[in-house]
Amino acid sequence: MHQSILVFRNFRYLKWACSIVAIAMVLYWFHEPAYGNANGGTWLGYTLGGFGAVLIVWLMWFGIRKRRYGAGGAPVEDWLSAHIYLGLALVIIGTLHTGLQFGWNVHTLAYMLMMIVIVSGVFGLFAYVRVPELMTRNRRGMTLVQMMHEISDLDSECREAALTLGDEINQIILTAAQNTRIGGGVIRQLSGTDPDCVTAKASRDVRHLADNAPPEQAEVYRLLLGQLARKEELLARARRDVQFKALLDIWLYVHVPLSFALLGALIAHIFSVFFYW
Amino acid sequence: MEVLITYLTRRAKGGVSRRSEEKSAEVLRFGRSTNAEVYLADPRIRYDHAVIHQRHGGFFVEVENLSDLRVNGQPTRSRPVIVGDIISIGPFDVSVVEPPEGMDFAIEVELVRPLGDDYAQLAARSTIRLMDYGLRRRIWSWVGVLVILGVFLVAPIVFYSQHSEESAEKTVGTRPDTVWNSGPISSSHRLIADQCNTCHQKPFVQVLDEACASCHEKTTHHFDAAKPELAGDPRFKNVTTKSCNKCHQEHNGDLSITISKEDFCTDCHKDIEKSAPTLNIKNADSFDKGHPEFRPSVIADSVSGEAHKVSLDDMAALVEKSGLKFPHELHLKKEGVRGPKGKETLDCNGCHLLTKGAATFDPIGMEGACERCHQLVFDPRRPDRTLPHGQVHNAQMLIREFYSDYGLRGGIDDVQDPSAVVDRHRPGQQIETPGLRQTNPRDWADSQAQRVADQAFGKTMCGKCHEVSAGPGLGPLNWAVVPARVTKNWMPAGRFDHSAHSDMLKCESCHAARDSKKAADVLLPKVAVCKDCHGGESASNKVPSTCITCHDFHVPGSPSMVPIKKASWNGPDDEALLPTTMPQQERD
Repeated sequence: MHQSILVFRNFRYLKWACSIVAIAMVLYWFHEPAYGNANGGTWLGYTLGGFGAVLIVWLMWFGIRKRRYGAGGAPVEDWLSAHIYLGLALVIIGTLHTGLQFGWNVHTLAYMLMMIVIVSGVFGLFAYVRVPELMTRNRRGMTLVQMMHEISDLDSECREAALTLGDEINQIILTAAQNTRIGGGVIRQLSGTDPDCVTAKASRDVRHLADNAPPEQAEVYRLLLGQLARKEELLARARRDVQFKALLDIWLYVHVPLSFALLGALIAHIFSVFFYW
Repeated sequence: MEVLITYLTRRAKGGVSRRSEEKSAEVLRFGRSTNAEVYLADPRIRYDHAVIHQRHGGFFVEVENLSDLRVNGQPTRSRPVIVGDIISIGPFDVSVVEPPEGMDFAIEVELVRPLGDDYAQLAARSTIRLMDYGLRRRIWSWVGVLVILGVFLVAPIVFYSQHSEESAEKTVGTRPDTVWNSGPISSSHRLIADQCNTCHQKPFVQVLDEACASCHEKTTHHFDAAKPELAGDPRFKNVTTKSCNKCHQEHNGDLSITISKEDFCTDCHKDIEKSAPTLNIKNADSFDKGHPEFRPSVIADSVSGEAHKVSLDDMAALVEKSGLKFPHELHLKKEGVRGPKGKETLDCNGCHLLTKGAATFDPIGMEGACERCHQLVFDPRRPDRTLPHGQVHNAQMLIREFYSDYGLRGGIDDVQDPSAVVDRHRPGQQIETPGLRQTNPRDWADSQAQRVADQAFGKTMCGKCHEVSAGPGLGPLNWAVVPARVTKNWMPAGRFDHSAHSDMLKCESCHAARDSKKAADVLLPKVAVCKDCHGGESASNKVPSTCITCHDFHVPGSPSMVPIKKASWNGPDDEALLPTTMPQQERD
């Protein structure tokens, strides 16, 4: 039976993460550096930093582990659940490691990259929990390809129906068929709509023409308008489908590349701290 | 006219199917209209698209309604056509061919640009995956990791490896290793903030003491760790073997680089009596809770100058053997004291001068403070002659020589004295002094000198302020003065800035000088007086004050501290814990 990754194993990894965070916070609370304020250079700072660095590498290893379908050890669900909760724990571990000292340097860069990666991961988690259900509901049993086939069929039906009508309306129908598109740029895909949708415009124009059409053409116009409305509805659903898929994907374009940028910054951070010790 | 119209359709597997119609019409109309002689079923074709006329024995093609028409590729609105021409009407090509027998005109119509597969076209127009939009996670991952490693790791290392410390300092603009800076430099070191290698001399090695010592070569230790009773004592390892950077951590911004936390000191000092009994210092906890009473170093023996620490609580032992007699009370009388020009009221800073900006008072001496009133005129007949202050032997000699001179020359202006010294002696003149006034001038001079010395040293001058002693052989006139030892600083291990306090407080707020009858009084306020205003480091309603508010860690006079691991000190000499005294008799 399906169990949400969040409640996986009765929140086992949430409990782990909370324990680690609690220990770190208690240590930080009672930690009084001999000199000045808390910072990454005290024994607690090094401890938190070392733990955080190992954790980051381990979290990134998830990207490899999840592709090794035959790998032994804990199932990938365990990995994912731990990845989520321990990744969130890193917010506290990393922040305590900084001692809230920030600057324009590689150290704060690593911290900022880490935070962006975590925030993008939170977005991804949200998307994975919320979007599939919305997606299923939106598709109503169709795939996107099926929707597109139906849209194409509607286009040709419209064209044939319009052949008996005037030039203007044929132009409108043809333009709508030839210029309608789904998705597009990143923003367009994520928005799930197309404010310049030519089909919507065609629908408006045909309705306008229908008002002044001779009575004998009324039947054709009604047919056309019905098909255009159906096409609009399909387009809206197709675009929302694209939007949902984009939402499921987009965070990974932040999460993954910035994880690697973070790895680079982490290496530079650790190296520089000990190079100029 | 009679027209043969042939519709060509290309099959998917090759080959062409032909369907011919013969029409008899006035004109040949092309369009989607059902009336058109050539019916072109395509939405790209106009209802009435074009027409071909027969005129003057020739054929002309014309567009209707500004439709799209080309003949042999050339856009046109109207032109004659002949056999071989190709007329393009929308997606159709209409070829004019040789008419068969009995026909006026013949054309072949073919749809050469079909609409195509709607789905394929829609799919081609649509971008439904982010990946299709040029986003590639793997590429961006590589770009991210390489750019970051390049800028933040490789560039600084290359810079480091290609520059010596000197050439690195001359770098114009931002050094690549600036990105490694973990935080702002403390303000006192900011002048070398952009010179990383001044401190970070060796890679992967913590900042060496030598780097600190290259500027701070005179920094002194907390105490003399080489003292026999302290040397090698593991309990003092923390302050004797730690390198500078263990306590002085940089890159923490505008915070001072000095440790100011009480714990840092009190961890050891709250039990210091047990751990270091020979040091003769008291346990000290935070200023609130556990600061011991002040123990000024008072002079126990004015002759030797030996001082010992006495608590301000120990009133019986709190006696400063300064060799002086000085009643503050008398000098600070409200009604005033007799001055050279009549009565005047003295206040503290009549004598105790605080040079602007200085933390401690100027040394008090006869010259600045006393002699305006206490002039050392020993013979009222000669107010221009004074005894030299601080020169006990010379002063006695001066008195004797002064009166011997009168005995020899005469001319003293006092009829009570023997004529031998009153009358002026001219060279070669016989001294004749009849009666009682006839005395030997040397006897007179000696007796006068002794009398004046006894008065001046015993009571009126030296003895008035100094402890003196009389006896045969102590001086030319049998007088000696105990050396005056005015303590400049009773508490040398503490730091007190009088300038900083004088804006707010009067002298008598802390020093009970108006009630002091003896110079032996130690006019210091107790620690409780400080606590009226000052609290411990975490005080919320008093001035937060930590150990180093008043105490130095690097005690002046202690042996040099750096580089601490290499330091070796010769001859323990704990001068720092003794008061700085100013023996009065050595000041000439």
